[in-house]
Amino acid sequence: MNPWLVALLRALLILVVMLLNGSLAIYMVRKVLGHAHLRLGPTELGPAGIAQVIADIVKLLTKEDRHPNRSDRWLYLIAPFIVFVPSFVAFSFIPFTDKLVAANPEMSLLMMLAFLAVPPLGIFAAGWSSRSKFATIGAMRAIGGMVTYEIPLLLAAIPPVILAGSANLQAIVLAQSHSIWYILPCLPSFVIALICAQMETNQAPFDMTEADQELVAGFSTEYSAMRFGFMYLAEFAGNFTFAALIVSLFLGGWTLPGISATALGPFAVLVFVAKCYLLIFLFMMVRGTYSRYRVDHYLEVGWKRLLPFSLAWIVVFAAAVRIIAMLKGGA
Amino acid sequence: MLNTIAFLVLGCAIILGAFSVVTVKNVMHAAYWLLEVAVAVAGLFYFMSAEYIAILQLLVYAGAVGMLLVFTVMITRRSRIDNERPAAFSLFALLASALLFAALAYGVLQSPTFAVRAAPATVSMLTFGRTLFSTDGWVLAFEIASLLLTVALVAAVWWTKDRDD
Repeated sequence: MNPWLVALLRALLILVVMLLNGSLAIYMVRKVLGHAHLRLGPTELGPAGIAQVIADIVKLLTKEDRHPNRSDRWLYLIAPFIVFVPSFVAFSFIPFTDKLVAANPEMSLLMMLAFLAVPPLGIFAAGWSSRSKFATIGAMRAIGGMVTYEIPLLLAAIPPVILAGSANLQAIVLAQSHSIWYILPCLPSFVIALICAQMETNQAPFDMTEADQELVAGFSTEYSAMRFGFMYLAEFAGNFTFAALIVSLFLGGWTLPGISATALGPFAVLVFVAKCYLLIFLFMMVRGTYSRYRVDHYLEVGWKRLLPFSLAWIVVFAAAVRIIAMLKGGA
Repeated sequence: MLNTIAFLVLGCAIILGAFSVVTVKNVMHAAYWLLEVAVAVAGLFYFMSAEYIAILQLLVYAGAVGMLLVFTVMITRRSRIDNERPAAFSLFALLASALLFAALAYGVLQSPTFAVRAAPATVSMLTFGRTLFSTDGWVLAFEIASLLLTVALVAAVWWTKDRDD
């Protein structure tokens, strides 16, 4: 088949999955957070308020696309796409099953992490160009936070790579299906990855860039209509991408312990998606439970606790792997 | 075919971006054009089967260096109005860049690999790591670089801490 057509179809498919994930996440965030706060969330439209999602989307699509009078027009218009496009590309590396993966380069894990490093620059562009104090402060925090938490996230991904001997997400999942889920040998990395994911997806207790009570809506204060929609779509896609990343690295991806890939067959994709949404549910419960960090504390946790701890843990882990390998070789 | 089109698109994007970095008046816009150039160069590396270099280009140049630039612009501007830089024409800069271009072009054209067009070899992470960390490879250079970075880091911490006494 024509390679252009294949690429186009794959891109379209990812877009559809992203949109579906976005609409599901809108509903989920309202209901989960609502119940966590002893509220009901949306109830009026449709059964259990599920049609509220449609109303939200229609609202986003039909609102006026406005921009502040003195905004930096050029950056303001392009910023949502600097956020959206890398999130979209990162999404395409998610291994849903052994065959269902849109793009599977040899180092897909690193590729995904590299693309996930770009959206904060878009968030910064959005905040900076809005020429609003709230947005600018949100933007500055986005940059500060990203610099802080990107490194522990990268370091947290190293132990699974050491164990699997590959930086390909698919290979890491397969290696886990042959041994054990890497959450067991790499538990500290798993915890670090969870914390960093919570931060990188701008969720409380680390939602510094938005911080409703302090900054209205942070970097997205001045945005409306579908430009706002794109940033939110990217954020929800980010939630899913990070969940998928952690599921693939530590929780066995689309496999289940004791069940072979062939026996799982078409249910593999369901297993994967279910794991991801369970993790997203966990993120949301954390978001609904803990109060926000103060900005200086938040940076301190990153630089003075997480970073030294991850470095020390990698040294310990690598040494342990080496010693175990030597003992096995010696015996 | 696919590669040629990708090369043309990315090449044009790089030239347009690089030109804009120099000519655009707003420094923040210039920083974002540089980001665009970095991403396009990463794409170029990817299409030349240098996957690892592409990732590094994206992580280091688009991620870290882009962030650093934006950070610098952000903390050195008092108001966002003085984002504008003067568009001064400098004959000296023109001469210097022309000289650099000539030197680079000469070097590229003279190099033996330019004519050969070596078949694309995918460098895996394993070979890359082996070359980087083996004693007959680059391990010394690597360690010296990391020592240099550590020194810079310590100096930065020393520089920023309160020294009222």
